[in-house]
Amino acid sequence: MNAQASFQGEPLLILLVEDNAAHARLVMRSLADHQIANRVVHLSDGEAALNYLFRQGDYADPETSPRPHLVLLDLRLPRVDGLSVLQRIKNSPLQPLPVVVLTTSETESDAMAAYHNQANSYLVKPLNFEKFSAMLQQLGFYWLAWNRYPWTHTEP
Amino acid sequence: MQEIIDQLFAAETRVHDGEFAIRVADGSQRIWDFSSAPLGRLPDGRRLVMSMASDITQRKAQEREREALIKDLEARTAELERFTYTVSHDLKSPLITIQGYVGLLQKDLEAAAKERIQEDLREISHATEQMQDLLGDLLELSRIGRLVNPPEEVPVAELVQEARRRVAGYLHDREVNFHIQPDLPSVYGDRARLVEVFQNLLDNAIKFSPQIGQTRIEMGIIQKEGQQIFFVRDNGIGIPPDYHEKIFGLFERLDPHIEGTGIGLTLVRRIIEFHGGHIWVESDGPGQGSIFFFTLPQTEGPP
Repeated sequence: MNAQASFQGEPLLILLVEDNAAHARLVMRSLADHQIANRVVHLSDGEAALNYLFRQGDYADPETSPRPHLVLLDLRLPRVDGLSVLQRIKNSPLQPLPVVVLTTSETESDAMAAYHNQANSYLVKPLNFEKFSAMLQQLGFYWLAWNRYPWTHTEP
Repeated sequence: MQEIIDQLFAAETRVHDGEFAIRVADGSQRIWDFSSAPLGRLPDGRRLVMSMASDITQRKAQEREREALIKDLEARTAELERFTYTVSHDLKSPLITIQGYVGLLQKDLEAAAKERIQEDLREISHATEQMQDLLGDLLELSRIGRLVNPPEEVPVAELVQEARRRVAGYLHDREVNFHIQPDLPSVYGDRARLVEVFQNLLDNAIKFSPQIGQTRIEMGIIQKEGQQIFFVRDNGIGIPPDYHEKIFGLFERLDPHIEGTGIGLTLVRRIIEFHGGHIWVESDGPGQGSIFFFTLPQTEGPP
């Protein structure tokens, strides 16, 4: 069983915001191995993520910025940090979009700040690769196959 | 007056009147601490009151000094906490990469996917190098607190020349125009460390220069409020205002696509502050270039 079908007839898209290129490739390979999403868009800083999500700058044309079904967000990001990206999403019409924080930080205050800002989930990257891979598979299933959204994908 | 005495006798105890700044005969201002106590009554019914005053000027000065030390200690503890947090976070990242690609390597070996195996090995190797760089940087940072070389008088022109020689190695085919102000003064400090300041600033100016067009780096000195302030100006990508303080933080990086661990400016600030100076940056934002300003002790001798 895999989560790759489609979402109400649309291909599944994950937006991965991660500045560590090696981690990003690990995430993308794990997702591909488990056939979690049809497409992963990877951006490496918070500013690019905001431009993509709010269709500004390089991503002003909606053709270049299809709406993701899930955002995987690192916290320590260049230009605009992850927490600010989270705040902007959750205080906008995109608020219902699930944002899963995926970080190396086990610090309580980071987790607390993320939840205070309406993160849908807070996950610490496991050191062990089997766990890392299993975690991505399970989160893919949960958010893309089981979870229900209040909008059809072409909105908002 | 009568009212105060009434109050004292009602309280039946020593009362602290407070601290007062009083100018004394020699013209200096001293701080006095006053307190009063009821002593009892004379046979004729008059009441006796004792008032005491002590000069606490010196004690107050010591208290202020102690408070300043406590504040400083708190700031250092907070810095140490941030440091530990950053280090644990940044050292964990390459470990995740290594473990991850070892996991993938096992799979790829089973599938005999040669290209993927090569990629896995490359990632593992790169992550160990990254970890080595981070550990080297940390060691470097810890060394600043200890003076390696005795301080001496060093002409800034020599520091700049040495720094230019070191960065020349990685200019490659990039064209850089240096404009160094003539007649730069001398400064007092650890020569090897001070070279690192100029080297890192030039290095950054080159790394963050525009991809198209010429790189122009200016280095000189300005006078402001009787103080000599050095500057390094570039015409590079500039720094958004939110980052003017942040860029000096440990392992903070402005652009993930540009090589580096994010320690250069942390080192620069540590070295300058260790010498009793300070550093800040001014930039109108993206595309506008940046100017780093800093002060260093001049050559009147050790402070």
